[in-house]
Amino acid sequence: MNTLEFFNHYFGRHLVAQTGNAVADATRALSSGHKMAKGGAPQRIASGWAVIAEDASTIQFKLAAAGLRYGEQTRYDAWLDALDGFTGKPLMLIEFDKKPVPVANLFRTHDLRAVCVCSPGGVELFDFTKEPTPEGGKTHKVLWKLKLLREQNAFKSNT
Amino acid sequence: MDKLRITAALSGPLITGGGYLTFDALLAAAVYSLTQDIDQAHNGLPIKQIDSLYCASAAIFEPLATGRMAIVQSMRPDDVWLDHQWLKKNKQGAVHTKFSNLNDNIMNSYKTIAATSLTWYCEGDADQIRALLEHLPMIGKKRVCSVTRWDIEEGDLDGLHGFADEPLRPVPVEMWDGGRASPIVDAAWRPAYWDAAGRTACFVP
Repeated sequence: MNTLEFFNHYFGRHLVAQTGNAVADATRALSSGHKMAKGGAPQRIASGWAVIAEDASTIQFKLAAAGLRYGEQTRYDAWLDALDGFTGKPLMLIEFDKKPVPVANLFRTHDLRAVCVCSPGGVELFDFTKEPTPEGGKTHKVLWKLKLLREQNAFKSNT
Repeated sequence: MDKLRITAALSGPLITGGGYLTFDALLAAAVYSLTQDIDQAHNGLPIKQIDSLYCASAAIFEPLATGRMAIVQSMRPDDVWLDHQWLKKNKQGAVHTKFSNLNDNIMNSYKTIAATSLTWYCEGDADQIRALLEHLPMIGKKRVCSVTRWDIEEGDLDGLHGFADEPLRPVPVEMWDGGRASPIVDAAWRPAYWDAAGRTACFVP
């Protein structure tokens, strides 16, 4: 299964009808309006985060789509949960914003040494087995800090 | 087909939008500029293929320095490739020619790599490759990175496997028979490399 087939199978098909054109289907899922859980006019996914995985895909934006899970955490908490529980099965970590995420920016994470966070502005790629360097990206730095904080809290609660 | 080592001596920093700059992509650019035939550019290169995978490495270089550079690309209405039917017209039906006619003056950020040379390994036809390289006077986004000399010599590698059995280019996981220590990432492994539909899990350099 290639990157866009993965995206459409585990996420896109819950939002838009599949035509067999993977690029067009993924583009429509990311840039067209979808029914909201609260009702009202359809809205494009314009904020929040998503974690797309084989077991279950989770999104923060409250859509009406069945088949997806909905999460309340911050993006960094959600992504760190996903990376902490990484078993080797591919993941797709997405950050949404007002501008749609281009299909060209969709990449999966197959290995903690090459974590990809996809956003409208590009892709942040980093090695999550290593501490971020001063030149490292924002997501890597925040996730690493959060990871250390969680380890400290776990240590305190055990002692 | 012979195992070859190709070296480009550079006159300035390479400005690139990213990617692996595989040797088949470079030759494809030359073929397309000569023939305007996209099928020949993607499938008819003088390089050995295994199930559509070109035996041609990504660019190998030792950067003296790296940096970033922003380039504004203005979509001017007098560009020959831009069909005037899509452009805003004035009341007389004439196309506006002011700079601001289109709302898309695009600024993109590129990576700059200062290196004296780029090297590739491949398995291919040296004579045909030499003829195509004559039509590649530059590499990357800007002409500042012109190629001052192309060298083609006998190589030790097949364009896929490195000296430590590492991948020299993106190779799909199911096709890779070398060392498996490199991380797996999503990458395009055959032309067109820009097309997200061709992206799959690969071992990469």
